[in-house]
Amino acid sequence: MASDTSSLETSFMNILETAKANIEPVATAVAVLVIGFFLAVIVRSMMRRSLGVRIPRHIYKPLENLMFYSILAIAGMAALTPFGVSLSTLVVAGGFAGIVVGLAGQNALSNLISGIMLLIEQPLRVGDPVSVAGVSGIVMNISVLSTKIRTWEGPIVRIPNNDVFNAAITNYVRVKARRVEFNISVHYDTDVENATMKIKEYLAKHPFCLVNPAPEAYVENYGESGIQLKIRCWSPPQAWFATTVDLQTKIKRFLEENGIRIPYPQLDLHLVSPEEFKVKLNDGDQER
Amino acid sequence: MAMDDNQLLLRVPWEIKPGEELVIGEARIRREEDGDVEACDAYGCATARVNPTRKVLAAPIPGIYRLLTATPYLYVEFEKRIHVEPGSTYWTLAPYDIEVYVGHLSLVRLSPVKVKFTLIGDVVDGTLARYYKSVAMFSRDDLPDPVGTAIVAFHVKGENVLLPGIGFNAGISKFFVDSNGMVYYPLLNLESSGIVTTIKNTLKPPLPGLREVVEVSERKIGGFMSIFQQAAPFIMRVEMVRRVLTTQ
Repeated sequence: MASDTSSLETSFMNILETAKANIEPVATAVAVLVIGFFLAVIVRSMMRRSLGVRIPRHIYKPLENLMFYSILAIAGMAALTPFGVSLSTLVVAGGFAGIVVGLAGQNALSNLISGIMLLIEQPLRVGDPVSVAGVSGIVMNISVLSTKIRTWEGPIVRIPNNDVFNAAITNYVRVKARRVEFNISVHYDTDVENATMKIKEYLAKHPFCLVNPAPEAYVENYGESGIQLKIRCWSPPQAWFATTVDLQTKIKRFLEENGIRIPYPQLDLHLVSPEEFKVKLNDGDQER
Repeated sequence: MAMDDNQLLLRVPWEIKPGEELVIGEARIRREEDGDVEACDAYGCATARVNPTRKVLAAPIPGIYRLLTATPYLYVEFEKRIHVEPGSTYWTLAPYDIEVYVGHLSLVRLSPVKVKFTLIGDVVDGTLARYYKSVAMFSRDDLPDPVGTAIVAFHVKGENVLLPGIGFNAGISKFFVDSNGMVYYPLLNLESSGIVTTIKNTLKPPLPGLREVVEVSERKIGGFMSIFQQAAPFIMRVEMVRRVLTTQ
């Protein structure tokens, strides 16, 4: 009877020892998973707060998910350590896989990082008229890998984000005003002061020529056939093209109405030592 | 029957019945008996055919829409600079645009005055604003006939300042009318520290007894209004003002 009791006690102690030995790693694993989960939630919330207001949802959401599940995966791997699974083996395997994937997707990764930088820095936005990497047009879409621009002629050009990020970007609407500028020649008989004054008055009446900075018209050059005037006015960037076309089209009629002549190219020929020379005129087959 | 500037009915929005013509400044809206509506201003005409049984209405909207909606700001340059003192209220005129509509559908937007824009400040950091040249007066009664323009009152706080003009955020504006059919922008609060002058749109009537033009705000003119509603008050710095003065 006493031996039975002792044996039962020993068995119970063994079970207790075994349970104790197993509970400890399980508790550690659960603790690591819980901490990892909360860490992932905190990082996701921070990313949402910092990126959510700056870049579109469809862009930051995959990044947010990538970070969230990466942290969970690391926590999962760390949770296996108490059960004898070596983390270093997993890290080495993961690192190797990372190198392979990195080498294979170097361009994609480069475009992805450039895309994120473009979305954070925002040198161009959807709808902006821009010139970038030799392509001019309206930005149609900025995704994590590429930027699509609809050119002025119509076709849509896809530019990898890496090229966009490394190129000089000209954004035509990021300023409050854009200058309309063109040249026009007037005849040498023209009263230049009067002409420039009238042109400035004409520009001042145009709805898109800003009051300030004031329009300008001045002599830029004395050309072979006429006096070259430079005409400038600032317009809202959205109306720049319309203003340029409108002014260039209507300025001719305005000058004509005000008696200001636009010269044709002409060449005066002076003979230094005039000599008699014969001129042969053909009138059909008849020679005169 | 034609309603000209002097015959503007006291009701705003203005209704254009078949056979009538409404003329406000350079804006003209004509409705034929057969339903044709023609609306013109200095920049062109628009036509539409509307069932004669439907109401065609025209209402003032902030003067920032015609030709180009590029800015929520209006800048009124005064013909003569005005010395303003804290505690006083001054009066000027600013343009409004007219929206012609049927039910909730906008037919066209017109401007009763010529459209101009200006830049306050520099090309990168400045403020683009619709421009109008007017006078500033000490009393509303001294203002010239406000054809195609709304009366603007601004109350001054802070320090004495010599003002070449005022700019304000008109994107959030509603309108008020008095018993004579005169249109008013809300009261503006101008606060000057000597260096920086900030002008806020109070959205309150400048005088007691004015009626708010409710119909305009209820129709929520354009989705982009929400962007303008977040726009900051108009801020003028001394260097900006100097720059404007050099253009005179």
